[in-house]
Amino acid sequence: MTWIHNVRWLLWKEYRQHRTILFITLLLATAPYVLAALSAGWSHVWDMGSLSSLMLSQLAFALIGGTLIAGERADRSAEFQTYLPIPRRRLWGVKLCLPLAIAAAIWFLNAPPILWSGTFRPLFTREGLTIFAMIATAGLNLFCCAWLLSSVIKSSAISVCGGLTVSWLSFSIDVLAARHYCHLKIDPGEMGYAVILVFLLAESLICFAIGSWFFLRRVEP
Amino acid sequence: MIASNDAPAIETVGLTKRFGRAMAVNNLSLKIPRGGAYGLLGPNGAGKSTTIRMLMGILSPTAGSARVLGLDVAKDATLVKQRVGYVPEMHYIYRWMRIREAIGFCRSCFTSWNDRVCQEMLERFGLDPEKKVKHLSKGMLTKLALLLAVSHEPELLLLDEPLSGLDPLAREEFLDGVLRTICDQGQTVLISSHMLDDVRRLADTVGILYEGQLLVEGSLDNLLTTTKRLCATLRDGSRPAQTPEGTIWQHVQGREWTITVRDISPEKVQQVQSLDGVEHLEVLDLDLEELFKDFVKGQRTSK
Repeated sequence: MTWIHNVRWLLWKEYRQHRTILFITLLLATAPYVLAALSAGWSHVWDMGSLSSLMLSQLAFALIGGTLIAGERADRSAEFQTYLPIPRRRLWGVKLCLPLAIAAAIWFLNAPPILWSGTFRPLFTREGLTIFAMIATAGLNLFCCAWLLSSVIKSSAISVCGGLTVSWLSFSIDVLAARHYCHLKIDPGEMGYAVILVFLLAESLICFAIGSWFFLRRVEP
Repeated sequence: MIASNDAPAIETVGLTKRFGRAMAVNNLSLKIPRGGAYGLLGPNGAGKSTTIRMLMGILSPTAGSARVLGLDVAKDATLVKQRVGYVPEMHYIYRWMRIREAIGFCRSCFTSWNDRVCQEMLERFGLDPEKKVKHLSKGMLTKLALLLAVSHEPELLLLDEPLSGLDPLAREEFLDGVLRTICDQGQTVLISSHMLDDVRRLADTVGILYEGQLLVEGSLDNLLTTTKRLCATLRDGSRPAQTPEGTIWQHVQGREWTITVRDISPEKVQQVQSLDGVEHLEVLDLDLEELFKDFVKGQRTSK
């Protein structure tokens, strides 16, 4: 199966090109535990570290989203790739494996400490799930905003910074809008979070779809 | 998607590429049959690289269409790339890869990759598989690009200034060894180069591009046989008002009038000789470089 062989090479190439980001992700995910241990002692490592780690490591999504496409266009290696008979959809699929792997790593790394420390004791209550949903959506939004910019801009730095800015702005606007809406209407807490989540998810999906469209349709590297 | 085997290697109809206001390729219609080598010549900015990039499906035309090996480049770009080898002017192979990794990566992309050909080329070019791409000199990088372009035994090889940076020995090996073998096997080669000697050695047909348009096209031998330079000595240094039909360039220096004429015939020579003011006339053969220069200079003068 030639295509499987090709996918393996492409996965290796993506890993090799973005291994610095993987290393940074590891740092973002583990540093809070170390800092918690140093500042509050071993007894608070898991409860303090886990949530900070989970939140901080979401930044990795902006990094990976901003470099996945723009990085190759900036160093012009995308041009070399374009000469080769690799279907765009295959490239697109392989590129998405990396953020998925990062997401899996971040959540699997932090899930045991969260469960063990009982930081979020009512984990499976609506409140607990909302917090995790917010964090996951923020990560998704960071990735999608950076991915969109990465597909149209040739600079990874601008894509990453732009992704962070756009995501932060949209999050702030969503929060303000939700607060405004909820003060006037029903229960602020639950409804507010729901509105923010819906807006962020919708925005993420739109950004991702447009970025993917650009990547799949563009003829030039 | 279905491509017949007797379709031309390359066929473009009204191919046009515009970059903003600049016209890079202007309504280019080419038909290159399978087999043999075609030399695409032209001064800098003539549109050679743009044309090749459009043929390779990595640049979308503004207008017109291109078919390569019977396949529509716009619709079947991946299939085209599977059957075409391409050596660009600039090489952007992943710099962090080792040569063996670059080979492995490309090998996984092509269904027709031939390990024997690849190994032969490695040895012929003296490439060390363990060496990193970023440590290769320009010449070695070109050799690697050539190796990657021919190891899948393409039916069509598109070479955009492929020999720049190669030492004379490697150039000779590539031209007389690799490319000659490819041509002898019935594969088609399209080569764009400023090194006209190399084109002369390899190509049997040439086309000269100027400002995105095809000035002239034809069998190289035929062009060289039918295009001659006439050197006339003028009595008083003033150029005769009439020029023979097919004049592509003319120049007067002192009493010497030089004209390059296409489709030369004894009648045309006689016509020039009998012009008022012409004292003496000499007919000279042209080499490819002179032919190319005269066509381009003639075009520039006419504008």
